[in-house]
Amino acid sequence: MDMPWAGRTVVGFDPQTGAPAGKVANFLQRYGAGFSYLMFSFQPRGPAALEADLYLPAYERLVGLVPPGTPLVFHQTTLNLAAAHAYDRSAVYRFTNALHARFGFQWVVEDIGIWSQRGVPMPYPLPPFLTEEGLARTIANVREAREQLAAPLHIEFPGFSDGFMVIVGELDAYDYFRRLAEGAEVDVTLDVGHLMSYRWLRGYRGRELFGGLERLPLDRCRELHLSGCAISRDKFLDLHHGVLLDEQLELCELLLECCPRLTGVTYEDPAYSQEGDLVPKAQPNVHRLRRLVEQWMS
Amino acid sequence: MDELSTLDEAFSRLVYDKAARERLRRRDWTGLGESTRHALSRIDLDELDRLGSAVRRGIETGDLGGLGVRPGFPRTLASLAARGGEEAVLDGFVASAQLREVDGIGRRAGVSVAEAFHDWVRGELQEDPAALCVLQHELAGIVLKALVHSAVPGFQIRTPLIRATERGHLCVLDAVRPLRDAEDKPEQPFVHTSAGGRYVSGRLSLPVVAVLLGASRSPPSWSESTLAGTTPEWRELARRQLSDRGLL
Repeated sequence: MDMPWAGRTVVGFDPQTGAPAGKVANFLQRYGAGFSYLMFSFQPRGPAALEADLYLPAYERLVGLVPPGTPLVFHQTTLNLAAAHAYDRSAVYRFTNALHARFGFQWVVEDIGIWSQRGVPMPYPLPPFLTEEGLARTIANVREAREQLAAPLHIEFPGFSDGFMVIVGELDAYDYFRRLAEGAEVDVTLDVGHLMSYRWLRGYRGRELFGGLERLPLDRCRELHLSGCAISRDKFLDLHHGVLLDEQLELCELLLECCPRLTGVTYEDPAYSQEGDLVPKAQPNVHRLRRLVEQWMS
Repeated sequence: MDELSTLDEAFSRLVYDKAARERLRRRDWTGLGESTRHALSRIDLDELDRLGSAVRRGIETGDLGGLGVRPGFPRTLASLAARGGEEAVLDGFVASAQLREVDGIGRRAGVSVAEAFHDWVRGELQEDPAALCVLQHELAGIVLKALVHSAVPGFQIRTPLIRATERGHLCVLDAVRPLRDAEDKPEQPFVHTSAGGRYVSGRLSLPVVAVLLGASRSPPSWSESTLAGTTPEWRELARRQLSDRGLL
């Protein structure tokens, strides 16, 4: 769950009180017990410093909405692992480790991307520089993060439709990601929509969207992400609006079969009403996803 | 500079500098080496323009990095826009060296967008004392208001005009002219404070301001000499009254 602090959306934390918004509480109280774990994402609390004490009370209230003992996963957004410029992560490590000490995260995950460029956050995480030098730097960044973080680090295949398609370099992103995971010796998260967005960008359509999987580090994949996506005007859109495409479920089914070390499947950013009910449009494929995962678990 | 640093520098210019994007659209590769040209050769220029515009808009509104230019500096922005157009002003700031000093991530590795904008505009407004005075007040206002909600800010405060106190932060300015530096004594003191979860601003007399500054971690030398002209009883009364109002 993405949990922003801004008042513009009703999903997130109330910036004044730190309480999770009412609809978040309603959703988690209604469906929380039906999920095997809770993943929530870091979003900055206005201009506040990356100090765990400033975030812990709100995160404790969020975690208090799911059954005690529910495993937790933390989605970071400030590791900025594909930054090619000097980027001091020591404050990010301290912050994340302090949260981990309290919550005991199963793992910490972040998309491989440029989340900020020289101190200024980007509107969307930009793809990494797909060059040999960019890959070498990112391997070094991920190795450092893996060593400095107390929780296991998973790296996520980046999105290629989120906002701005500014692609630098010519390496194939699947090859880049496999070499990165192997070079940095880390486990990975594959976001089904992100994979499809890359294949779409490369001109593939239909079943070809599911091609090339052998080039991914499937043996290192511990988690799948599925967030709401759409196809409109010949564009693949990773909207995070809660409504899953049929094609995402097809690719998910393939990945369930060929990722031998898979631990979990995350339905990201569910769409629900103020009362916490999944929106009708989202329900059919969320139910299909649940059946797929239950079948895989059995 | 190695190849990756050169590429990253070129990429940064393309994100932040509209003129650099226009040069790339003209296929003007001046100053860029072969490997950088190659890496950038397939970049989508329309997407790059969209990104650059979104970054500028985010810095303007505060959605990217916080403490945005428009909410923080409405009068300064209007004053600059009257000279050369608002868009040109924002483009100029976003491309400036001052923006490179920002840490909008919360690591306290740089200044806020607001202070970077102040530092950039200060150079642009050197010949306009009235506008500089407004600029100082707008910076104090946006930073100290932010500190009300985030007592531990994620950015550095480098301007010596904003001082840390036991209970928060304090900025003493002049109501009608810009202060030269932190030692400059205001003739018509105007105070911005952030303390106890409140932002308060307004005019105060010089001796009362000196009492406030005396409680800061870096008082100017004139505050002590000003207080020397007051009685211990008066100072005690002033401290008590300021304390009752939550300012000390």
